[in-house]
Amino acid sequence: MNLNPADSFRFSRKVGYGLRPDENPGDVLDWAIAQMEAVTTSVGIAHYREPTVVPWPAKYNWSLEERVAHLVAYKKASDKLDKQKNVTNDQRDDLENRHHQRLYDILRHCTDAVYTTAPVFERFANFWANHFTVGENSESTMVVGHYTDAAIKANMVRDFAAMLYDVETHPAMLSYLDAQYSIGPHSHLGLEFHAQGKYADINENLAREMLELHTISPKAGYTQADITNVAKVLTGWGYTMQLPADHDFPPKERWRVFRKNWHEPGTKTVLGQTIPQGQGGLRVLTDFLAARAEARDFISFKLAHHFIREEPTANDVAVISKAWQDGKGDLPTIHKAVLQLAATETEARKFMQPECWLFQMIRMSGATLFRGFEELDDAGDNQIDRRSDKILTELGQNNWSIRQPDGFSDKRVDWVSPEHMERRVRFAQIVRIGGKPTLDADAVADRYMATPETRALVGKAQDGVGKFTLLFCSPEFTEA
Amino acid sequence: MITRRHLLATTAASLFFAGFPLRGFAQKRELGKIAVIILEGGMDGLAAVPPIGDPSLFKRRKDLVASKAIKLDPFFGLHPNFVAFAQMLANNEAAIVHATSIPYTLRSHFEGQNLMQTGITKPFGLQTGWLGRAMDVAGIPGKSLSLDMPLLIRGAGDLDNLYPASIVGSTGPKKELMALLDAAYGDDAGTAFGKLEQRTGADEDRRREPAALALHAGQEMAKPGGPNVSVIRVTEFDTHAQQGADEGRQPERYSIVDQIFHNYKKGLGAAWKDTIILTLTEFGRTVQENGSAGTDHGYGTCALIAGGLLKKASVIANWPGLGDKEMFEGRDLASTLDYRAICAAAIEAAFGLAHDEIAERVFMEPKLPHAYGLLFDA
Repeated sequence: MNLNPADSFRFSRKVGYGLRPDENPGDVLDWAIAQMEAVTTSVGIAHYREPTVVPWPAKYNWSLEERVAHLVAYKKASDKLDKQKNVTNDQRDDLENRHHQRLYDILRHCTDAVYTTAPVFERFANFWANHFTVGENSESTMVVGHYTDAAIKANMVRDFAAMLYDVETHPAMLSYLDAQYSIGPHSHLGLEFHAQGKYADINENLAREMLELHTISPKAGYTQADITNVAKVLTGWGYTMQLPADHDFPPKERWRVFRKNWHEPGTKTVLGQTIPQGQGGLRVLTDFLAARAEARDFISFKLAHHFIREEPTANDVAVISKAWQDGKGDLPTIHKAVLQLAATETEARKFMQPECWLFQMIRMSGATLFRGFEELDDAGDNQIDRRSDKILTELGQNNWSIRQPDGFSDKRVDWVSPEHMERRVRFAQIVRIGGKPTLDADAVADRYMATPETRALVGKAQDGVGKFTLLFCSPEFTEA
Repeated sequence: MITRRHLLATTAASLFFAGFPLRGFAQKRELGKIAVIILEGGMDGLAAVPPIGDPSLFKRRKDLVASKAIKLDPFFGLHPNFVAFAQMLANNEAAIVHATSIPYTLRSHFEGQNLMQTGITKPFGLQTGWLGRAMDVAGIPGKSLSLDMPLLIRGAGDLDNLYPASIVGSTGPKKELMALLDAAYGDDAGTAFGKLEQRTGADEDRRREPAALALHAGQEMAKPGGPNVSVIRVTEFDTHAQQGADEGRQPERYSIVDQIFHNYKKGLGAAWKDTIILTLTEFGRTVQENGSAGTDHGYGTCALIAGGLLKKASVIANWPGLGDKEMFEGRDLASTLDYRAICAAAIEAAFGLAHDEIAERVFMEPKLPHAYGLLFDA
């Protein structure tokens, strides 16, 4: 498909994070489709003053085993602090900083977006990470970075059912939605607890969201009994600081722990489907849910809403849903259908969420904002905020924050309050002043073939910062 | 309409659940003020205001009842973290409504949060909020103390928000740039830039903890021409695990809410007498503690209300009981009062709109109970 130059540049923003000044992909649709075949590797810079992009160092990419070890140490120290009186905020901060995997993960999330050569893959990965939201809930934040790699990105070349299963069994999700401590009331442990006069029962948090948010949505008409039964299927799944004697997983899959003595015995019924007892029950359930038309339609709508336009048409949804059905949930097939649709619907526009907008501004102008991975612990530049976690929090879109499991909104109306617009103005300033962009506003406007209206607007500013601010905050560049 | 199985008096003469007095159209007078504290995630009414006179409570909740509840009457206690609110109760300027909820029983956060803000009964059926529509009918401005603009007040003509930035190296927006962007958009985003253009710069470097925001909101509302409505949001009431009894995740929230009430009053000063502050949450939590010393999504809960417009301190409750057959679907506190009736009463008291108009135009529910007398008749 031959898109004209202006549409090509817009397409690079619509499905990705725009193009860096030295990036010239040729046919952007081919370029985007090619990215769907392989999982990206992480990249970063060591120091922001010398921004040479290199592979992300393995030492800052912890395995789940290492993360669990950090978790154990963290919990121990945290419990100790809890028992002390008059604990200062400094003591708490110090503890957080010693177990700082989260900060590296957030930085990697940002540098992957702004320095990658496969921004379309990264953008789709972020769609799925937001669909399967994992925010902060005590232990979850330590493993979110691992979750994004192992449960989200690794499965983007597989099918939806595989992603769903890996998501629901990852410790990040099991912790975030409280399944970790859900006990079958008739399990060995449950009965033992009851005999001791202790209380033991299920926790239905993850079960409810698995149906409502992750798969079939309330339109499917499930009942409270279905939710309770999903919770029972989930009992036993969790993670553990020490492997139980009866686990069935090879060492590298240690994080998928199934504790038989926590599991509610008996078959369960969910929406008429019989789910067998035991460890295998969950995969039967997730496969059943993944294959339902309600899941396909619900998520096809979300894809269209995120990538195509504010008000998806019935055709948008039908095209994606059909690719889903024809490909039996194969994610590259689904993603390619979204890309084809985005390339066809050249008039459709979608407002950018603030994080996406920020990453685009940095990429398109060739700027460097975030600290390097070797300077994360330094006081660093105190003239400009460069800490990625801080920046995303100020934008109101930090994946690692305490937030609700429905993820960040894709609705324009949720992102246009005066304060949200104020943040965009401030970050345009920050990137222009502190990010040393290689392309200034006029050069970006030239390259992206900005409309006469946008050029006229930019022309009214008195200085470089003003032009940069007006360009990136203009109606044209806050949507794609 | 509402059965009266247990009528509970709080103090000797303060039982208000004796029916809904008929009122004519409210008289025109100075507009009052409404502040809403959104409690996101589903506040546990049984932990905030435990019915200590109900023996079932302790049977079903081993780890979740505060050991030193403030005794409001023989039946209800108040969590001890509500220090300022307890004082307001003692001063006859606060009230509690218990066993209440918006009419939504399917226990989804997202449907519930949508409905508590739209004020209707069909999820995602409207793009405006009940308070926004009330403000529209009354023609008055409002302000949100958060980064976004809650659905609750959308629909009103004049909205602003405040959530101060904290970004080293940046300065506030330049007026001339904001004017240009306002004109370039010409829609709701343009209006947002227009609001930024009008800012004085006095908001720079303000603190943004909920309590600090409440103080600021009170001060703003007290100014002549200031907003008549403000909304503040407190998150993390969704305590599925390790909820806490005396201290912990839910009780920490109570302290924050308590400080918000306290600082609103402080900020409002003399305007307190014209104000009503009320909490709003999507649902209560299960009566029975779950397997993780927490609670799951439920139905009925309680609401905290304060302000000078209130006429008498009270706990308003038509208590449904916590027995197996008394609980909603065998698991949740039942709701015996549509909480929207309380919201409507607050609108009536503050904006002087007639109940019938509020019922029809704001809540789209012509038969909404008239609850004004529960809170605002001496």
